[in-house]
Amino acid sequence: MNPASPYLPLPVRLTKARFDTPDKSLRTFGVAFEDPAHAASFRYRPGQFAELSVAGFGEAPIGIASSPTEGPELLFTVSRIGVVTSALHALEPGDRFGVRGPLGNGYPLAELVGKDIVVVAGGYAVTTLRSAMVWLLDPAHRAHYGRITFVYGARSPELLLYQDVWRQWMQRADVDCRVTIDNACQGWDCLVGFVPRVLKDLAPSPENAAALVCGPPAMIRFSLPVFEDLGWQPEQIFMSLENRMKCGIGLCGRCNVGNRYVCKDGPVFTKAELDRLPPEY
Amino acid sequence: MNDAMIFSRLDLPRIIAAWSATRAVYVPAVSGALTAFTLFDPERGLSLDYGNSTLSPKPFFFPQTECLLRFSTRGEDAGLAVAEPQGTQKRVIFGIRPCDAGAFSLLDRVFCQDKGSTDPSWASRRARTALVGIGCNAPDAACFCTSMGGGPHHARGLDILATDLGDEVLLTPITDKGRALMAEIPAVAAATPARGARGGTALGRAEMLRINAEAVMARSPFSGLTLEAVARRSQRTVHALGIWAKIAETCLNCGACTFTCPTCHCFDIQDETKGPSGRRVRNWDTCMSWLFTAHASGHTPRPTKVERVRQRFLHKFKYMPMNLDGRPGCVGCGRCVRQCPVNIDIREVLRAMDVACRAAPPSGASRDEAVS
Ligand SMILES: Cc1cc2nc3c(=O)[nH]c(=O)nc-3n(C[C@H](O)[C@H](O)[C@H](O)COP(=O)(O)OP(=O)(O)OC[C@H]3O[C@@H](n4cnc5c(N)ncnc54)[C@H](O)[C@@H]3O)c2cc1C
Ligand code: SF4
Ligand code: SF4
Ligand code: FES
Repeated sequence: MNPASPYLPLPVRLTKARFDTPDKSLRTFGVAFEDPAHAASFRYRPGQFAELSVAGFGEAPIGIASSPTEGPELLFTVSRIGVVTSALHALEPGDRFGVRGPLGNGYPLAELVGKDIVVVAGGYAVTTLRSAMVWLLDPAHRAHYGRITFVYGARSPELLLYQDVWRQWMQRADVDCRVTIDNACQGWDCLVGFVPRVLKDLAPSPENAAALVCGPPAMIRFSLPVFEDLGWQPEQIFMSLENRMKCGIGLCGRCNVGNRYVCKDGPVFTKAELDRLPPEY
Repeated sequence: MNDAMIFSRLDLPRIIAAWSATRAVYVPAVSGALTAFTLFDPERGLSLDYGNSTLSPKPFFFPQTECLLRFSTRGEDAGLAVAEPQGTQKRVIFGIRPCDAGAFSLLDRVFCQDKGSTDPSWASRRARTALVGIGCNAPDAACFCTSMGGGPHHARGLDILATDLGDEVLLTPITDKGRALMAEIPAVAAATPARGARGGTALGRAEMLRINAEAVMARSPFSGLTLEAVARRSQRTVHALGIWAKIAETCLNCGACTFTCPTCHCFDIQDETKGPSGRRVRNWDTCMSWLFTAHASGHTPRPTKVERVRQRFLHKFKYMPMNLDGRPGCVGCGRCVRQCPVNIDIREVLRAMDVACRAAPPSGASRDEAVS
């Protein structure tokens, strides 16, 4: 956070960018702070987000896809959908823009030490779960957790993000990595079927475990009953919400679900917490 | 002057003129049907014959439009943002009503929560502004501060409470800022300490005026409104009450209620550019608008006016009390009651919430306490 004003973005440069999908709707950015002091002060946790600022266009809240264990550069994956995200897609490597954050609470990974972790991701909502996975699998952290399972699905192979990293995870013995697409297609070598189905076959035990779940509404809707049938309690399931945001710091009154602000109290909530809040998300 | 003092009413302009030497002093001015605070002008004098300002005085701390930062769009510095400097002008708002002062003390807890969530311009404006309030001797029919934890002569949020005794005025300092202002009152204004014998009768009169004003409010058909039953129910229960569609039926979603309200603080942030320079501004926004929560995808958690109207009342009567030690997010100033074009009366809404909450089955499964 900038000490001069919580609304002031820190200047950054685009280091590299690639379109993730053939239709160019998703683009992944490498981002470096102009001032090394800013980079050092930007201490974030997996599951947090930042407001990406393009002067003249505005800001958009975007989950941080990199893990702090990967060094000072940040990674974001942005879906082009409106004014700010289009401006972000138009940036060229070397261009300046702004980052305001880190914002939100993030996944409580420190509190989950000693547990088995099940990560369930759908579509491009995988961003902050990539961060969580990289952090968990880092040599400094891996030994503090039990079994780690990664379930990730998308409609088709070209919509799956971060192939480079999850292909590596598939080679590792200390993580169970299951990647799936909705319908079979030529050349596809992993699973076929919806995420809830894969989850059901996997049948992760709730014993001393926690699940981090993020994806499109349909995936959430059909995955939660699978967990429930397996005996998982609502306190064990962590979900990340996306409400429309502006300030990102709990002042502008826009992103609330009941008495909680998604930007400040979230975006990560347990299912138990959400069950006590009005269903406005 | 550490203590309450009595002045002749005729001394007030002189006192304000003295404060004006080092500060901008704003006073109430009535013009036709509108009452607004304007810069004190010795030529025009001072009128204490006003109800409350038509619009709330929140722009003194939270302007309708305000620049947060500036940037250029071209050249070496393109895209480098600089924070808009805070002003330094010291100010006094004279004649603010106790409800509005209470609203700002409430909003302090919204705008200045902790290190990461402090609005610098709110904090700066609050720090360099003193509030001299005048107790209401004749509350309006739409006022209901006494049901919202306030009162017509309450001092919460004020630096000095003034009581209009007719040809005399009692000034009671509340805070250090208020005591400092009292110390600046020139000797030409002959003060009588309220502690002495003559002062005693003045204090007695002030007390009578307060009791009278509260009695007027107690006779209102809306007196005795309470948040107790709403507080006992979980937010899920209050959210799911069957009353909302009916309450929202006539609402136009015009936002007049949120616009005039001293505690409504929601805002939007937008960029504006002109040639090579640009600025990021924040503007008042309203939860009554569909766009307020709409995602770029078109999905919105509050798709119809029923959800939006419910949000406004739940924010004030459920969510804010939960987050702010029971304090409601409404101070009972009555502006939304006066301004709503279709006569939606927040007091009737609260009564409907109260009745429905009393009738609702106990909600053991979803208690609020667990959500904190
Ligand atoms: C915590 C969080 C994490 C997110 N992570 C990602 C991510 O990793 N990648 C990604 O592509 N998108 C992410 N989003 C969604 C992204 O913020 C919106 O798609 C984006 O703000 C749209 O902005 P726009 O100006 O391009 O669209 P416009 O339609 O022009 O939107 C205007 C304004 O609407 C708001 N808005 C619109 N859609 C959304 C939305 N779905 N959620 C929140 N605010 C919205 C923004 O405040 C924006 O300023 C995230 C949202 C949140 C709240
Ligand atoms: S002023 Fe009345 S009509 Fe307008 S949004 Fe408020 S309640 Fe609805
Ligand atoms: S909700 Fe209405 S009565 Fe309450 S403080 Fe706001 S404008 Fe005044
Ligand atoms: S984005 Fe402003 S309160 Fe959450």
